[in-house]
Amino acid sequence: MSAHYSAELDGALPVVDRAQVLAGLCEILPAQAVLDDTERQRPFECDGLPGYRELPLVTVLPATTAEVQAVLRFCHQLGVPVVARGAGTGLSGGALPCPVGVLLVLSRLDQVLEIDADNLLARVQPGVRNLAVSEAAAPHSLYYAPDPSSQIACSVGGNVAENAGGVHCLKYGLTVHNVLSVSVVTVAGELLDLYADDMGAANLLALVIGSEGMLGVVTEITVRLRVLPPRTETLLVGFATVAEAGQAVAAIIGGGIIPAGLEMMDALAVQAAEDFAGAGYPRDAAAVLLLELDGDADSVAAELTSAENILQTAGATLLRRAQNEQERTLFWKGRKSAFPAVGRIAPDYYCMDGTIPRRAIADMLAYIAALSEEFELQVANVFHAGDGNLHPLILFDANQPEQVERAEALGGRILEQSVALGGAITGEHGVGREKINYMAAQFSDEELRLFQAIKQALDPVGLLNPGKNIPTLKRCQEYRAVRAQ
Amino acid sequence: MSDRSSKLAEKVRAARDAGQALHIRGNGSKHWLETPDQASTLSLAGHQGIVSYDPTELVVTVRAGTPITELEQALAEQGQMLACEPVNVAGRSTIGGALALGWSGPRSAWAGTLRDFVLGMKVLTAEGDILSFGGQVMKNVAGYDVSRLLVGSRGGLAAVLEVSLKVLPLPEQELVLSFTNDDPLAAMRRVREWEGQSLPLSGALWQAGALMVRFSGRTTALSHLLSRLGGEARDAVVFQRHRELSAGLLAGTPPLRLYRQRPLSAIALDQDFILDHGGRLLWARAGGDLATLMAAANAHAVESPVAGVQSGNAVTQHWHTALAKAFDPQGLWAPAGEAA
Ligand SMILES: Cc1cc2nc3c(=O)[nH]c(=O)nc-3n(C[C@H](O)[C@H](O)[C@H](O)COP(=O)(O)OP(=O)(O)OC[C@H]3O[C@@H](n4cnc5c(N)ncnc54)[C@H](O)[C@@H]3O)c2cc1C
Repeated sequence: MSAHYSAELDGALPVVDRAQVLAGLCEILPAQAVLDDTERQRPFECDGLPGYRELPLVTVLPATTAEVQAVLRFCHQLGVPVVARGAGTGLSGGALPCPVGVLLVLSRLDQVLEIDADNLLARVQPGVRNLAVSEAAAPHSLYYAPDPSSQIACSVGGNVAENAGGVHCLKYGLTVHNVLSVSVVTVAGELLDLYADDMGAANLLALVIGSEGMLGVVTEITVRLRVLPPRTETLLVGFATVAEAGQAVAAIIGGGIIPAGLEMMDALAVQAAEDFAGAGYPRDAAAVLLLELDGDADSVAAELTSAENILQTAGATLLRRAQNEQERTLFWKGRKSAFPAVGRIAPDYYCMDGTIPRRAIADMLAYIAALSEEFELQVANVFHAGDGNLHPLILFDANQPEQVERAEALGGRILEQSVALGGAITGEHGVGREKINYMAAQFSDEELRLFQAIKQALDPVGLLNPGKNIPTLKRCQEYRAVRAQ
Repeated sequence: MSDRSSKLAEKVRAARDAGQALHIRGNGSKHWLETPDQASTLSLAGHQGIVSYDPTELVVTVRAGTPITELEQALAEQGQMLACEPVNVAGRSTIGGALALGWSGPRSAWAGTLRDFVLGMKVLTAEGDILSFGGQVMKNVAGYDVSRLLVGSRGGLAAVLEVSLKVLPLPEQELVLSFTNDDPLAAMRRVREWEGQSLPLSGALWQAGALMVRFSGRTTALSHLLSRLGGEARDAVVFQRHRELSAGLLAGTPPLRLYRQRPLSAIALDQDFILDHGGRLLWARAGGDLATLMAAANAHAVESPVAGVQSGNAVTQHWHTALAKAFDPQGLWAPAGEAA
């Protein structure tokens, strides 16, 4: 069943007077900040999920919080939908424009406003790139922990909207664990500040983080900085079977070790990454683990011995410790470039994002292998093993409509299986437009109704990012009916 | 050790149909809170027990009426803990009550707060429906994060029936050191220096001219700290008592809690106070108007243990009101502490 917008299942979009909207926006913003022609809007028609494309009515690039407020106030008055966009690296169509709406691009709000090294915090605008925060903090021997593989490009505002994770979030947490406060502009253009440690009332900050631009537009973020660890050790570990690698992951955690990172790749992903990055991964391994330990020197030494013992016992066929910073970076380069690397071995790939309990890793990989045969499409697996967050990459050719359909159906089966195993349809990429149907696999109608009530409480007319994140009950009925056939 | 969710749901539906307000209660360990007039009680105290616990998953799922002390014992048997140290008043609080209040202990400034460790919840709504949000996995961004939203909501949105929490390994060893220091900020600056050296901090508390610090970690990492840092070794029980709100300024009805985003920022209070969480939390008695107090403490928010949130602008209040209506259109829930 298609996830594309349908007036019948998702409700009709409002009727908007384009000329009036354009004239109003040109009064609020300088001329160069308002794009209304197809050519200049083309780069914004999709995010990192190219299968979903739409041109917005008009694109605006405000440069201040006051301008963001003015745009929202104006759109609110006229009943015009607004879709926020950061860097557009999202993988679920969250920033997909609305054809009758304004696309609010936050990339010009790109200032690191403050690094307060004493108090271990950074204050940034939403368009600041994730990696730029750590770069600005580095002179103080500090860094920002959440490190999505897209960190060179993705924006902190987009990270907040998706609750982005990274390879180090097993130990240091997701975005929600590292944000101290945000400023949010409401649908009506009002500004509020929300704090992580606000107690004595519901924690509104937690609600905003991961809300995919549905509840407000984030215009400033204060993040927690951490002290760069004095010692870091990275292990590259090979296994002859996927099952042994899965068991090794459980044994490490069960052994009382919380690694800074614990990543797994299967044979196909290892081959692709090795061809791309030459990171020294064992080409003959069925699965590779990357394990990183960090902290004070004594603790790391103790954990390293313990981890090496556990991995030997678990049947590691290769156990290599990075000898220097250069080799450590190389080990990680293989992992962090896994998506583009897999992208080279097929015309297109479709990245899934289910989460499962760690104990089910081996079963899930066997299930995916069976699906790969059934649908006759190759699947490479890269994942945050420590968190049980899978990224199966389904290889296909987008020029063959029939292959697109097969890839989507295969992906859907993986998501449904994630839910069946006690997990979730998305761990970090969000629901966006792409997974809108599968919300019905994870939630009951009553649960979805509460989500809708929350949305309605804060955005009564539904102007912010319409059609994303929370499906209509009608769409859910249709999904369940199709599945029952 | 029983599952009383269907009985509880029945009670909610009956109250709703009768137009009766309901007040959610755990063990009543927060003795300073009063049951509101004209509300009957929905007691979660009997809804107890660990539903599932798999140490290698680092997740425990537990019913809301389970005493924190019991839960922590079960975790300790497997070498694990609740790293956020939810406030456990006199050792009698239930985990549901701790979530409703949302207060975390000394370790939370480094390990993360109670809210941070919540992975999912099963809740009972004002409509009498039992709904699940989040889950038992580390990452889940499907839909809004209702479970974490509810932390601190003081029984005003929904009743928590079950919670899944991330757990962490117990440290091999703990070391508590005390230092005489009249200047609370100088004391916290010292703590910041140790943090800069990546020492495994797990508590930093200043009160009455003394800085009390706790380190937790591998034995090898702690062994030379006493000789290196000086100070006087103390029994770890001081942090335990602090977490139970049973000593000094915190005993009885707790004072106001002032939240500070910048732990080393200046403090200009002319009364006794406690600086907690490495400087991020300040406990002080009420006096004068709140805005002046907040400014003097360099705090962005102040919470009254009795009345809840005391800050935030009109827009924030509007969001709270709108959400309360979304969760509870008929106004069934009567949060504690509002009684005259
Ligand atoms: C190669 C590759 C690797 C990736 N690896 C990871 C990974 O390891 N971990 C991970 O979590 N993700 C990963 N991603 C996904 C993506 O990078 C993240 O979701 C990122 O957080 C999106 O940020 P963005 O600035 O690109 O947001 P966009 O794609 O522009 O927007 C994403 C969503 O956020 C909303 N939004 C953006 N800015 C704001 C704002 N200021 N206020 C309110 N709403 C806003 C949008 O409306 C949209 O719904 C990867 C993507 C790619 C292409």
